[in-house]
Amino acid sequence: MSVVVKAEKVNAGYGRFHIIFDVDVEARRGEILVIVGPNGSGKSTLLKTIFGLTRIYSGRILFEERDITREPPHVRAKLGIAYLPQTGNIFTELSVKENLKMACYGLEASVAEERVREVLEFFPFLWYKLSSKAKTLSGGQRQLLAMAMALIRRPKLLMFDEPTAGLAPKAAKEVVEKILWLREELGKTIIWVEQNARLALEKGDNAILMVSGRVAYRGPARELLADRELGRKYLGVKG
Amino acid sequence: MAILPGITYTLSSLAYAAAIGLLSMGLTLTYLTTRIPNFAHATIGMIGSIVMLLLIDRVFYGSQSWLIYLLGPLAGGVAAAAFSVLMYRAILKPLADRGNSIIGLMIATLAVDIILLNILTLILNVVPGENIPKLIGANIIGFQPKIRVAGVVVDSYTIILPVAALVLATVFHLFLTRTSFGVAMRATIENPDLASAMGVNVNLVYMVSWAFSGFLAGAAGALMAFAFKGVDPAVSALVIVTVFAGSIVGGLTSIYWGLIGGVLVGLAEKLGTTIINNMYRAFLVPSLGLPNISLVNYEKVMSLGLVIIVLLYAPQGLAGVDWESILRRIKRARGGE
Ligand SMILES: Nc1ncnc2c1ncn2[C@@H]1O[C@H](COP(=O)(O)OP(=O)(O)OP(=O)(O)O)[C@@H](O)[C@H]1O
Ligand SMILES: [Mg+2]
Repeated sequence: MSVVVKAEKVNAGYGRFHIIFDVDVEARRGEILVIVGPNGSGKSTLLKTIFGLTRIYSGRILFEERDITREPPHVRAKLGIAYLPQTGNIFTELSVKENLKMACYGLEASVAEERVREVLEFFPFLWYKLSSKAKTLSGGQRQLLAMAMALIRRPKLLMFDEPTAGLAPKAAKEVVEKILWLREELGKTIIWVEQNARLALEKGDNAILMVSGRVAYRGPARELLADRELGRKYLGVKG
Repeated sequence: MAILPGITYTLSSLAYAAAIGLLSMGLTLTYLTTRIPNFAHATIGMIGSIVMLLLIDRVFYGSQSWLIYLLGPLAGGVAAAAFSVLMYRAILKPLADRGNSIIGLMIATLAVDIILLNILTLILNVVPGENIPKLIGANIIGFQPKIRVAGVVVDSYTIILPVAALVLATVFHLFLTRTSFGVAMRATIENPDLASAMGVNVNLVYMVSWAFSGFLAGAAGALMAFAFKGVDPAVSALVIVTVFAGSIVGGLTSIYWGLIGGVLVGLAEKLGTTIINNMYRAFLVPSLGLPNISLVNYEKVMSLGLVIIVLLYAPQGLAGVDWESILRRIKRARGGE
């Protein structure tokens, strides 16, 4: 399987705050790469770095073999990377319809119409919410709307930052099912940062464990889940 | 002595309030997009007044044509918008890009305000014009078409200004909700990072917001020219206080509440002060023997007092009030009777 995105010995942070150190990561086409680790270990920073929202001091980011280390976020978005931040991933003050319209920004009108119709088929509940303000959606529905908005641009890689945080178990389950579906049905590559390590490691193919801004484990997700020592020490995974 | 002011005064108060509303709306807009409190905003509106004055001098003197109400605000608005964009692009954006704080940017707008004020005064003094000295010295109210309301001849600008404010606010609302650039503007206000991830050119949105804000100010200034007893750019120093009061009462989080806040503060200054003055003189002076002075010069006490009262009860301004729950409670109280 070909490598979709690759970070090579990346050092990055915010201004003078150096947060991640010598990080090597790669995600292959059609895989789910799970990123776990304690609070503040740099998981979100790693996603932001791949999307171009941090300062990269050294190292390279490659997307489909093209060096994007110096590209701004909107160029990375055009190349096919979607980033769904932990919060603020939809426009709460706009209606659902306007959110979808924003996701189509810059697309030709006929193409936009077709793409919106397509994602409405994937997420039928949005039909009934089109004219509601996005802030009236439940947490789970917001995540699904954010996913729909990302899909409109037909990305090859989707990066989720804690998509189940704060959701009721049922809503979380629905979001997770949708993430698996993105991979199974649409063949998307997924990087998934998750607080609930057991849940994600059971579903993922490969995993990265971040500790204090460094990669402490890299390998099959299930093996990390089975590793008693790492699991107990960093992830609160029992037994 | 009548407590309520007469029709002429009431109409001119409404016109003043509408102009303040337009100014507060524009001030709120650029604050929402670029986080810059623009202290030059009222003087930018004064550009519209000067353009109106020059138009009267060159084109409309003695003609009493209604066309002045279309061309004046349009030309004044465009000139003010041009200055507003220039000020943002050439001064404020470079300063913001170099990491200046909101305080630094605010001081920069004050500096621009002083420079602009001097330029406008210079224009008034050096531009050759047959009638300009007359227009500056006298009240230019005479240079407008007349209109009759309820049997009284009133200054027509007092009718035109509130109507123009409603039209401009409606057009702007349609722009924000019906066009994709307008939706992008609202999206950028809420979350510029996410908007840029959707391919929105956020810097263009910021420039357009300064253009709109300038246009609204210039259009209001052009129509307000008729209210001045002689055009003096320095009145903007007083007006800006009221415009900020209006924006703060509105809450600085919604342009619509900016408009409403500006109108309320404008009304409080004019009608509020006069009504309180009339009551004071009709009741308190004779009964309590208080000094028989006029309170009408204490306009700014009204507007700033309103700011304090609103912020005491609604720290987020009127936009932050949960109006729906208040309406529900009122309905329930009525139903319970
Ligand atoms: N904008 C910022 N400026 C400076 N430091 C930041 C910024 N954002 C995050 N940090 C710091 O970077 C470190 C890593 O934060 P990050 O958000 O990447 O952690 P995380 O692994 O996602 O944590 P969590 O599980 O709590 O989401 C933290 O110490 C945090 O304080
Ligand atoms: Mg995080």
